[in-house]
Amino acid sequence: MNNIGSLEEIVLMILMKYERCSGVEIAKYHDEALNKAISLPAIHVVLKRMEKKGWVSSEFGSPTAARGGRRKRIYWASSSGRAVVTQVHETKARLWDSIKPSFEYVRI
Amino acid sequence: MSEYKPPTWANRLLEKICPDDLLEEIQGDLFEAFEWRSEIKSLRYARRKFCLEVFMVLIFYKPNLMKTPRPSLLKNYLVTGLRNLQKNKSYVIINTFGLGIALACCVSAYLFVAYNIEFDDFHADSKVNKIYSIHSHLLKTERGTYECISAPINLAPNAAADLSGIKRFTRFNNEQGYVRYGDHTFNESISFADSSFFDMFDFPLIQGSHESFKNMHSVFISQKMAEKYFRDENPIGKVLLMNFPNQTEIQAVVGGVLKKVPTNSTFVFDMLLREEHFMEIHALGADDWKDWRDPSTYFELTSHDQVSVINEQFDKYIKRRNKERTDRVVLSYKLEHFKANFGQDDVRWSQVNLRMSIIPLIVFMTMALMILLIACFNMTNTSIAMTARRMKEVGIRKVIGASKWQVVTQFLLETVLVTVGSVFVGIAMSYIIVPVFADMWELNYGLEDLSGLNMFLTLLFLIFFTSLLAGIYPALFSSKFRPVVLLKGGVKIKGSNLLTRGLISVQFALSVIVLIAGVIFIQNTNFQEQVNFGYDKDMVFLVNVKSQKQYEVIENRLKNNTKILEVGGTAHSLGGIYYQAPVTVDTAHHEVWHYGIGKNYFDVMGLEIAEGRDLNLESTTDLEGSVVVNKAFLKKIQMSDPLMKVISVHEVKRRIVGVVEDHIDNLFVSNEPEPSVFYPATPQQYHYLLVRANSDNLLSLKNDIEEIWKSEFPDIPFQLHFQEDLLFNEIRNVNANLKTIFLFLTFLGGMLSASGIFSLATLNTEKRSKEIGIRKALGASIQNIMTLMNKEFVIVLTIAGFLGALGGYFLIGILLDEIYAYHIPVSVISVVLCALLIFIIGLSTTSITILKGAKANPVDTLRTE
Repeated sequence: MNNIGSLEEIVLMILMKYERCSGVEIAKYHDEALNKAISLPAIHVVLKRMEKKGWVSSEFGSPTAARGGRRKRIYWASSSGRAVVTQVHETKARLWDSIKPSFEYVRI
Repeated sequence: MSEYKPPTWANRLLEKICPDDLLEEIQGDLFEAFEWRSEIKSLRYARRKFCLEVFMVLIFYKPNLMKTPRPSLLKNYLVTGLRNLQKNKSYVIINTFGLGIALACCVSAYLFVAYNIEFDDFHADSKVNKIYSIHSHLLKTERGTYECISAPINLAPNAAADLSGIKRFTRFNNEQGYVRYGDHTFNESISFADSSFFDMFDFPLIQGSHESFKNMHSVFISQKMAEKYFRDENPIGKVLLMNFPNQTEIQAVVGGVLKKVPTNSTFVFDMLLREEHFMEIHALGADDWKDWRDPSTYFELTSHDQVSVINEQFDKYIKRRNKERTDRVVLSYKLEHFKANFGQDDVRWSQVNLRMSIIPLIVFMTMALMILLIACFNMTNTSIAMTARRMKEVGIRKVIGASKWQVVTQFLLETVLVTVGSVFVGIAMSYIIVPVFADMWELNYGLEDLSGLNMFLTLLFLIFFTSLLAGIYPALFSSKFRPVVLLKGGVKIKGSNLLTRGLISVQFALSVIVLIAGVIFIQNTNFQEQVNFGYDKDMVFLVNVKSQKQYEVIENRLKNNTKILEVGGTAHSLGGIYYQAPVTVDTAHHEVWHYGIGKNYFDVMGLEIAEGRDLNLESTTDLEGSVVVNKAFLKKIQMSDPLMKVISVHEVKRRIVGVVEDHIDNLFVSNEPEPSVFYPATPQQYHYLLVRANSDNLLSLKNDIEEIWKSEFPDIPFQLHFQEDLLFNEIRNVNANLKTIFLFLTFLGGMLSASGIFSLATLNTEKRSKEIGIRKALGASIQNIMTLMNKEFVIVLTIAGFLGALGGYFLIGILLDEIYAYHIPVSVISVVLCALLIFIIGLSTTSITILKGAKANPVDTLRTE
C-alpha cells in the first residue's frame, strides 16, 4: 500500500478527476496534462497492477464502432486508491512546506 | 475513417501474442488510440505508434519469446560450429572461396544494375523535383512511332515566353571541335547549355563560381580537362581557343572547374559552353524550326499541375515544325519528369546520356545468379554429406533436451559462419573482379561510385539469401528425427537422395551452358572475321577532315605516293557512318540508309557498279539531280529497270543513274544487305579522306600521311581509322569479353560442380564400403564395382548433359540474336561436344574416389567394427 509508482500516481489522479475512464481516455488525459505521449500497454500494465492491489476497479462497457465492435473496459478509482493518493500527497505537501521558506529566501 | 487502418501484420501479431482475456480490451484500446492519433497528428505517426505498442505488448506479456539464447549457449554453438568446420577444412575452403567468388560475380553484375538504379542520384531531389524534359514522339515511316528526348532548338525560348508555368529552361547539345591553349591542341567533344543550367542542376565546383556561366563567353571544364590543358596553372580566367565546323572560332574564358560526378548521369560533359554559341556555329536564327540538331530540352515548372496544361499547348509548335520539315513527322511533344525511368530501350535518339539497356543487365544478373546457385548447391550438398556423419550427435543433443529449433540453430550457424567468411572473400575478390569487369565494357564506373547504403543492403540480402538457401535443408533435415531412432543408427542417409541428385544435375547443366557459351563465342569471332562484306575492306583507311581545305591539301600531297592506289573523299561511309531517312518513290515513303559520297568513293571502297554508271561529281546535273542505289533498294521497292527513274531524296528529285552491288554494313545491325541510296556530297561536306593502299604495308603509309598532316596542320590533331577497325573493333571487344567471362564461369562452375560430386561420391563409397568388401570377397572385379557405383552418377550426369545442351542451345541462340544481327548459328556438334566434355569431367571425378574404394582390400573394410 505504501509503494506507489509515479505513473500509478498519475493514473490514479486522472481517475479521481474524471471518475470513469477507459485505457485510451487515460492516455489522452495523460498526454494533455503532461504534454508528452505515452504508450497504451504501459497504462494497461499499471492498471492491471493497481487492480490487483485493489486501488482501481473495472467493468466492461458497451461495444463501439471505433473499436471495431469490441467492448471497452472502464476503470475507476476505489476508495483505497483514493486514500493512497491523498496520503502520498499529504506527505509530500508536508515535506514541501518545510523547505519552501528557505527556497523563497534564496530567491530573494 | 475506416479507410485508415493500422498495419495488418501488426494487428495479426497482436492477436497471436496477446493473452486471450486481455485481447478485447487491449486491441480495442489500440484501435481507438490509432484513430485519435491519426486525427491529432498524422497517419504515419499513428501507424508507427501502433507497431511500437504491439511490440511493447510482446515485451510485457510474452517475455519468453524475446529472450535470446543464453550467452553460454551461444558460445557453445559457436565453438561446436568452429570445431566442426575445422574438421572439414577442405570442404570449408572450397565452399568459402566458391561462394566468395560467386558473390564477387554478383557484385559485378550489381554494378550494372546500380548504374541504372542510382542514375542521376547526385542531384538533390528538392532541386530537380519540378524539372521535366521534352520527349518528341515521331512517326516511323513503316510502322508505329518512336521517341526522342529532343525538341527544336527554338521551342524552349518560345515556350518560356508564350506559356505560363515555365520557371526556366535549359537546352543541351554536343559538338566536336578543336581546343587550343598555348601549344596544345586536342580534339574534344564540347557540350552546350543555357545560362540557367547550373541553377537547375547540381554540379559542384572545385574552383570558380556558378555565376560565371551567366557570362556568354565563359566555359566550364571538368577536372580532367583542367589537368590536361593547364597542369599546375590556375585555370580560372584563362582563355581557350576553340575551332568548330564552318570555320567558327570561339574564345572562351574558363569560369569554373567541375568536380567529378559519377558517369551514370544524364549530363556527361568535359567542356560546357553557352547554347548561344551552338546556334552561332550552325548559323541558326531565332526563327529556325528546320534544323535537325534538336537539343535535349528541360523545363523547370512552377508546379506539377502545369504538365498537362503545357502538354496541350505544344500543338502550335508541332504544326510549325511539321510545316518546315516533312521528312520527320512529329506526332506530339510530351513532358516527362527528369527522373522518370527512360533508358536506351525506350529512347531512340537524344543528346544526353541514358540509362543502360535492360538486356545486358538481365544477361549479367542471370549469369551471376547461376554461379551463385552452383555455389549454394555445392554448399547444400556438402552440408548434407557432413550432416550424415553427425546423426548420433543430433540424437544425443535431443536426448539431453535440445529442442528442434536449437538443433536447427546449430546447423544454420555453421552455414552462416561459412557465408560470412565467403562475404569477406567476396568483398576482397570484388576489388579485383569488378574493375576488370567494368574495364571490359569501358564503363567508367566502379565500386567507389556506388551508394554505400544500397551496397550494404544488397550484401545483407545476399548473405541472408545464400545462408538460407544453403543451410535450411540440411538443418531441418537433421532435426526432424526422433532421438531413439537416431541413436540406434536407424536413420541412414544414403549418400545421395533425390534432392542432392537434382542439385548436382542442375549444377552440371549450368556448367554445360556456360561452357557452350564460351565455345560458341570463340567460334563466332572466327566466323565474323570471314564475313564477305561485299566490298574490299582490308586496304582502306579513313582520315578525318574538318574542311574542304584540309581535304584538298592532303589529297594533293598524296597524289604522287606510290603506295596508294586511290584517294577519295566522302561525307558518309560504309561501316556504320550513315543515317536512316525516308525517300519518296512516287508517293510512298521508304526508310532507307543514306550515304552522301564524294570523289572516287566506289573505286576506293571496291564496291562494284552492277548497272549504269558512277556519279560524275564534276557535272552540275549529277550533283543536283542524280543518285545511285543498291540492289537491295530495288528489291525493297520492287523496281525493275531502274535507270533514269526519279526518286526524291531529302525532298530533292533525283534520277537513278547507277546501281551498285549489295554490301553488309555492320554486323550489329543487319544480316543481309540493306536498301541504300548514295547521293553526291560536295567537298564542303566531306568528313573523311579515303585512301586505298597498294602495298601490304599499311602502317608505313599511315606514318607517311601522319607526317604530311603534321607538316601541313601542326595545330590540328590527326585522326585515322582503318576500315577493318571500324567494322571490327567493337565486335572483337564484345566477343573477347563474353568469351573471357563465360570461360571464367565455366572454370569456376566446373570446379565447384566437380567438388560437389566428389564429396557425394566419397560419401557414397564410405557408406557402402562393407558392401563393396563383401562383393569383392565373393569375386566381383574392380570393374564390376566401378560400374555398380557409377551407375547413379551416370544417370545424374546424363540428365545434366541433356538439360545443359538443350538450355545452352536455346539460351545462347537468344543471346547471340540480342547482340548481333549477323552471327554464327549455334551448331549442334559443339553443343554435344561440350555436354560430353562436362560429362567426362564429372564421371572421371567420381571414378577417382570410387576406384580408391574399389581397390581397397576387403579384409580391411570388413574387419572394422
